[in-house]
Amino acid sequence: MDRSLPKEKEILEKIKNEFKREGVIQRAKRVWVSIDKDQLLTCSKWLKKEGFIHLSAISVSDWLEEKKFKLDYLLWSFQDKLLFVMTVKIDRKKPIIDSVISIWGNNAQAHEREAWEFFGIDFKGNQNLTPLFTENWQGPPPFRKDFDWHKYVRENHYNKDNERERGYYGD
Amino acid sequence: MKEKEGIMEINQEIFRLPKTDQYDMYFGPCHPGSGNFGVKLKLEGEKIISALSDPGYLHRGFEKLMEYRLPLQNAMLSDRICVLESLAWELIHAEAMEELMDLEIPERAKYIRVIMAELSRIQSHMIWWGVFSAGTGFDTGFKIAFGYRDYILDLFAEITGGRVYPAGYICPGGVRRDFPEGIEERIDKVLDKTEELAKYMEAENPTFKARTKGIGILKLDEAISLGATGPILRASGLKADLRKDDPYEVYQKFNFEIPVREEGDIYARFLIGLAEMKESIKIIRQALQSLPKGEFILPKFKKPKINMKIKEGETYVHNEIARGEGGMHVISDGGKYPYRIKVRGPSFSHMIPVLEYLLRGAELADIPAIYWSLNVCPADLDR
Repeated sequence: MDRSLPKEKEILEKIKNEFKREGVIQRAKRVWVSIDKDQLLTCSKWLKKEGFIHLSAISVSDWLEEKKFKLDYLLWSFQDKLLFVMTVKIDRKKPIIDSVISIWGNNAQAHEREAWEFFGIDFKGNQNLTPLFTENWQGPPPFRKDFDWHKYVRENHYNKDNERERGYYGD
Repeated sequence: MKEKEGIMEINQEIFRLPKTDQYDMYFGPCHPGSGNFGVKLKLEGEKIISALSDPGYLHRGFEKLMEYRLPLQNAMLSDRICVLESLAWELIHAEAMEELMDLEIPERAKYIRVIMAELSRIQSHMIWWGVFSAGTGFDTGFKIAFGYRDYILDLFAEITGGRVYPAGYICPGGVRRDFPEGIEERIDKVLDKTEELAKYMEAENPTFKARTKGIGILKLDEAISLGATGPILRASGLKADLRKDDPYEVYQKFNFEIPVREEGDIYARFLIGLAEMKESIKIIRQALQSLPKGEFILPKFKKPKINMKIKEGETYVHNEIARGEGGMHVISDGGKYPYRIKVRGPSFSHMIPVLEYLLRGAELADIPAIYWSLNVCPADLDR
């Protein structure tokens, strides 16, 4: 029997029994599991109990063809020294998901604010979804794949009288 | 004010006292010390009722920009993520790319990377100590720290070609240049100088203690739920260091301690920074002694590779940088450019949830000490 990576295998086995989801061991100390949107809160609670108390980040990526947003919750266990990535895919047209503030506290609040600002994802239960980085931003969420920043700057901020800008944006 | 028959009539409204003692104040307002950042405060007398972080002054959209650049260009872009420890961010980017492309880099490159990362940590901690001294009213400390930091910057200039920005020195595949002849002795001399500085930094000054002990306390439970990492978390009592917990490069080969303190106050964070510098010196000395000979970069990366495809997949790489956990989540769809790069800066948690929490209920005069004790870098928060 293969005895390598015992902790990784143990957590995968547990998550299979608990949530009926198969995961992947990418390498030592890296476990990736994809779950359903409605499992998010129960799974998060369970993971925190298992020792994943540190939320490193919430990483969002935009998949145009699939019409989905992929949210990766990067979780670290100080006890097992293991990184667990919980992946949830949500509909691109109606990007609403539960907030995990009740589980990972104000740290999650700040990460969700960032995801809301850059990708326009609505977190149900997060009361303070306000911009962190942009000021008076009127355009669409800027990190979405269908947002062409080059075109946006050309249409809104291009000064044709400026020679340097003409060299960059001109025809 | 309006003029009436030659006599200035003054609007008496402005002399009336407000109905409460509450007032708003801006800390910063947009550049408190080093780095663009602000905090909106609500005070009652000298006591802070609420604090609201106001980042974004340094937002350059690196994550989006990297989707339009080759790994070769991103190596250069990644060092701009944080001015104060550019080499550490280059290392994270290079490691992430190597993991996606299944590259095993030469042993000598790994040693050089560790030496450079640790030198970077030392100079970053010197800035920390410098701006922290300036924040607590000890201006001489600022000048001493920046003077000694220059010895390290001179080394960077000699090794990488750039003092602050090494412009892609640590790149996917290894490092851009080999160590110059006789650099080992010069690094050793600079480490002696650094130890000399450490003597100045022994913090037994009673005024300094009065300003830092028992102030800005961050308990362990709070530290974890607010997302603190690195020296801030260790000053609150958790022995966690990614160099030991999730070893990268060749850190597992070196003996070093992880300094931990229980108090969680400003003074504890200060002492952690000091102790970490000494541990970094230890690591560099060991690495210099056992520095292997051989290649410093994979042969196929010696000439810049432009038409290189990144294998499809995704990975998360996190390193223990001077400020805490610095990480990159990279997704590739098999093309020349990365599909998505998410940068996790340690200051994101330290400057939004942690800072807001610590400032609530603190005194007005303690703001600079609390702010600088967190070893912040607005650049890696804003990206």
